[in-house]
Amino acid sequence: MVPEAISPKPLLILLVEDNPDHTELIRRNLENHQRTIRLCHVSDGEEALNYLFRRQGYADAARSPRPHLVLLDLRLPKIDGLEVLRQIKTSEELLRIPVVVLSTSNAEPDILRAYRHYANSYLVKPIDPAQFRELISTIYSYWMRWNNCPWCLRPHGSENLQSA
Amino acid sequence: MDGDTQATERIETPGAHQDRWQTLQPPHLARQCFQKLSDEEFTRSLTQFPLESPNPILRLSREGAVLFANPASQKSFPEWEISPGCIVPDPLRTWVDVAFLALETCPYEIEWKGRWYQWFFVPFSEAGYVNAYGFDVTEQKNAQRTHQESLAELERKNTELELFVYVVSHDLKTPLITIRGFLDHLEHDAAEGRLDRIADDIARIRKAARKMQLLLDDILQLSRIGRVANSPEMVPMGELVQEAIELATGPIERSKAQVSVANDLPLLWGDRQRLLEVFQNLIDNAAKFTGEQPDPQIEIGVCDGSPEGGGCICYVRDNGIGINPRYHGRVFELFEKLEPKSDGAGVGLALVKRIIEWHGGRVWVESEGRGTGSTFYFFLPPKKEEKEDNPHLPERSATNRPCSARCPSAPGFAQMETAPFSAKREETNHGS
Repeated sequence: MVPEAISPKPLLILLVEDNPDHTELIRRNLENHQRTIRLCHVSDGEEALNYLFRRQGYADAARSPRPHLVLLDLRLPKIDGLEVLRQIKTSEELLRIPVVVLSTSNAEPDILRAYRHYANSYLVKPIDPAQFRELISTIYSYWMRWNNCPWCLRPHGSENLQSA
Repeated sequence: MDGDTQATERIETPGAHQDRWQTLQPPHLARQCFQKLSDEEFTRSLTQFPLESPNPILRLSREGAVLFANPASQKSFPEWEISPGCIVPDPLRTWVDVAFLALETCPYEIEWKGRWYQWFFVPFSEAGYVNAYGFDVTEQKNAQRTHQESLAELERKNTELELFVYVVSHDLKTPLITIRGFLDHLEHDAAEGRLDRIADDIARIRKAARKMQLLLDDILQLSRIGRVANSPEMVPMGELVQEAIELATGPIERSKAQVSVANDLPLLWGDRQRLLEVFQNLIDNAAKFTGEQPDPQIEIGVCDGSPEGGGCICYVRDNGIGINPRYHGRVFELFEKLEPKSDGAGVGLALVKRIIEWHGGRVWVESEGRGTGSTFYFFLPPKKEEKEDNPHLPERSATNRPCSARCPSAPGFAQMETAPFSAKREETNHGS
């Protein structure tokens, strides 16, 4: 992959997921893209907000760079995903970060609430492992390869790089 | 005679001929029904008509002074000591003002000595008085309350059911994704000979399957509260605690916690099986969250001194990870987990809360925050006495104080001599 080789810094995904097994499944499905992306994992809503608002252990901006994508589970310990989403989307500093909700719930109220708080996308974790793999690789190609993120507006976009 | 019979029939079935009855009822026709009475007697019977009403009827001056009161009003509100010229107490006094201001018939409700009355205030502003018609609506009120209570209960059940559906869609799906996902990886890892990952894959699958089983058990247990009730009995708390410790042996041994139980534990009143589940879950919880504590301790006992009105406050204390005060409310909610890494479905403490509340008690937690340990308390009320005062009978309200102020020079009172209170007392005796 040409653009991956050129890309100077790996793109950062902040994964907010309380289930260690699901975290591992997502991590393994992204293993092939290790050189282009970096996965930063936090396991509850409070830690996610600490990271994003650079509080407590994340006060050093160098240690908590802005993610290019937040993958957010909804049902989280301490502070739930919806509240994390609300705080991101009401913060002048953070609201431009794409937030993709990745939840097991396909309940209508969850979906509606997530969009009401300006989620960029709502994805339901598939039970079927082949579909799960496909979903993760689609997230990668859409959000990390094609999507232009506010922090990484590479000059002339990725088409140029690809055709080069 | 013919006309007589027809009129009588109409009186007996006014509902069926409502429209006709009203149109056919000029005074002379109504008079026909009472032919046995002399004119004088008939007129008097009409003036006495409100006196015979089983409902309280008052005529009040602008100032709220009683111009007329029927025996039923004195019987219903003896504490008001209604007599000519006395000022009615609030809130009736206020309603008189409102009726004159609004100049329309307004119904009001008042609770008096456990009975509900609806009052209609009909103002006659030129004459300077208001007629107040009271109706005893206690039965309707009670029916309404029962109805509302069962509606609330239904709504609560419905919410709970929705939560259960949510659990199926989320909490059972979560381990299922893990199992199927890692089975898939297991297959690949085995094919590629990646032996290092196989053990990890299997462990994750096993753990997820176990979690599904735990969740199913918890859901079943939860659904039994209130549905499967064993009759309450006096249970020695010491016995319950010992049994609960045995049931929680696994988690206690894993945590290497020291469990100490206070001496002289009291008798508790409740459903034995459910109370055992309370202790088991609390001990389980204490053993699970010992954190980094090198010397984990669990202490079980009761608070000194019994609370007002009897009952008993029990506690299960640990010196484990503690709980941030911010989350003290959330720990008892269904499917809430503060520690993502803990196994269990977040049902245990919700179960404790429901069981205790089902017993009429209360549960709470005290903890200074992380690393300070936590103490779970619950209050269990004493054994209920068989014969209890009706809890629906409220205390006499302070606003409905008996009328004491007298107004001897109530305007228009002189004309009301035809409805004397002494005469009405006789009526009361006949009526009752």
